[in-house]
Amino acid sequence: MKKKLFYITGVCALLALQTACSPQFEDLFDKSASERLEEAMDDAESVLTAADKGWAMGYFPNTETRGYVLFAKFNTDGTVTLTDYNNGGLSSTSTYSMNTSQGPVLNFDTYSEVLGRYTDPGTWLGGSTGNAGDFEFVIFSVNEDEVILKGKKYHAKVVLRKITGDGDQETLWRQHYDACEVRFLSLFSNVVDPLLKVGNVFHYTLTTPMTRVFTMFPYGSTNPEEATNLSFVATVDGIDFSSELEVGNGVSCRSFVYNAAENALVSQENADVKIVIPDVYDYFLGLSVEHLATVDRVSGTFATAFASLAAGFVERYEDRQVLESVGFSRMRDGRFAFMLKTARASAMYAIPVHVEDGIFVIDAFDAQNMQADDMDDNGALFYTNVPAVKDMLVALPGAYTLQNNGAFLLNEIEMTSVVNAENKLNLSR
Amino acid sequence: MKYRVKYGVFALLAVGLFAFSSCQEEPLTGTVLAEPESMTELDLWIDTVYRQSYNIRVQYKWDEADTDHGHDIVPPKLELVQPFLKVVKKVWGEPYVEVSSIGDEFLRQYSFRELKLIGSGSWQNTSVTLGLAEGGYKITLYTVNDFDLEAGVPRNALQQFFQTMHHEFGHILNQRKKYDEQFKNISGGYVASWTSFADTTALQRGFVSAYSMSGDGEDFVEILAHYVCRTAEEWEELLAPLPPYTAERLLMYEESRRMIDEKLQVVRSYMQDSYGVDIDQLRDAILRNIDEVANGDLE
Repeated sequence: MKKKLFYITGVCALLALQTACSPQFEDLFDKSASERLEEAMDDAESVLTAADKGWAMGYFPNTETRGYVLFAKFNTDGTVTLTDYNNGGLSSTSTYSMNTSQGPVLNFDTYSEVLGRYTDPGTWLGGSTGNAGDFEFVIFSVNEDEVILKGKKYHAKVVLRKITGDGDQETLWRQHYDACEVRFLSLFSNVVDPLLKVGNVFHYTLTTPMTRVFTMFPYGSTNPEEATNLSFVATVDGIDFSSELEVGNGVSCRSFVYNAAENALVSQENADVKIVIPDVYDYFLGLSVEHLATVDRVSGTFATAFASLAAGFVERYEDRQVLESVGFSRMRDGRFAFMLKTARASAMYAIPVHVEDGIFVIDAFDAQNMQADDMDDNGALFYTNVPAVKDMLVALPGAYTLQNNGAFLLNEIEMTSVVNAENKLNLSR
Repeated sequence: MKYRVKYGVFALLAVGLFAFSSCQEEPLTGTVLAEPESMTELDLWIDTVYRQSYNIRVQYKWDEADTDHGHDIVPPKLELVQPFLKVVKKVWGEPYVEVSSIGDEFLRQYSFRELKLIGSGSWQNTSVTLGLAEGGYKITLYTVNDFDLEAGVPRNALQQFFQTMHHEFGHILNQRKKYDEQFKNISGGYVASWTSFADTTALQRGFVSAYSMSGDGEDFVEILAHYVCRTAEEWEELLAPLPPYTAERLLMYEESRRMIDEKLQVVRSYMQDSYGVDIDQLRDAILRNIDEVANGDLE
């Protein structure tokens, strides 16, 4: 019994000691966590319902899928009207609510025909669990003009931007949607693949822009295994990625606005990060596929230059080497090459080049050990034997402009004469 | 509109939690569930028809706890909720009230307490979950968006769907009162790999469906659900031997039928003795109401 009393007294003493020693923390916040959460939900709901012309919603079902511009009008009675011009202007009214499962959450809590297109597994017969789209969103930030959400399951960022202006809601929504599409087409149609750079360093070649899911190659890489996908949505003045892209040293980017003076999409998170249409040589040094310009695909002064080049071959080789096309590619050893194709050989002749002071310069080559083999530097002899080859290489970066011949077909490129003295590609913005 | 089940394999999942057995004889009476904070016209209707009458809370709006990270499922369409609930009441609830000697009290005492509606099915590869019964208190029904009842749903689609509903309610009843343990020995043969069996194979082995083979609990409620959602003729059709009619196969069917009949008798006795429900009267009421719904009468 005494032993038991001893233990009880000891435990009580320890508890008393612990109480006495408990440090006094000052509250970091004026209100409790639950009060702050309630306030956050009230604020979000107030802001969402206060927009009398509604919101443009850059919606991604998930981070792998392209973005869509939808429109939403939140009403104080708990209903929300969504419209989707990507789907024939489909409009539906359902309900929404706020809850607190992962912080404040915006929840489209009855079926929306508009979101159903992206979320409903439907009558589905195998392969996956559904369409992998979110209709519950954690509320990240709330401002009067912008609300940022993140999909609860699939984690894509969804940005709501307030619609303003005179006129009826439907007209304003349609105008906004059209403006986004115009911006998208002006940025990416009929354009060679853009590059993402930080400062003066190129990081990625952004291929397949017209799908609104960039296939990103590390700049200069041709390895498909190194490629990653990044989806985006068009906005009125640029694009938003579906999630933050880390570009090293703690620098990340997600939202870009087009800057006409710089002819670039500039990151709103870090102005050093830009998406640019590259100079000719930057573009070709970063490319991952072969591009050809055949005689029937050239125009303007480039056609004249091509004709001069062809004439140079005739002068040197008569009918033994008739020029058919020129192009650009990577050689087997990774070096960049200006390519020549003549009627005599089925293979291409490669002239390895690099850039010095903004012009193409031929690499050092060993004239004694050339192989009659595709992608070798066997084209280097043409450089020495046909002066017109050197003339074209020197002039190429500054004198000509490129136009791809189809949104998804970059294997053949039309070359036209330059219209821009600053070595920019002619992009018809 | 397509009725999904016809496409192939479907799974009826039930979570059998028997922890409630100690209090299973305590009837829940009165309206024990709190009133919702704000009510729409639909909410008021649900409150009157389901909560006040049967003490059942209906959840049709998406709730934070509904997020299913393994499957894509969506909420029901608002305009389909009320017609759907009318038909659930008519084809599931009212037949029990009608044939039970205690009337409305049957559902107030023995029903689940919560009914959750999900718009889509819950797909997993080629199977889809259509219903779920949990802990004797909650049933989740999927594919509500496939039932535009005011536009008309064929009789066989209603039969198939309410077979699911009665299957799940069978679990609820079993979770309240246990059936005779000898049931599982009548045919035996329960296997984890039931998905590799065709329904037609199951019918030769003493089961009404392949899913029945997954365990005696599923077997019990599959027999109940298949029986009460079929006419006598349709029940015979289900169990009839399929060609080729070799002596060996006919013997197998005969033995299978004997086992199914024996199990049906256990089900029949259980429903009568535990709940005072005659399953033949229940079947007549269910099928009569299905016919009325198929003819456009949802009330």
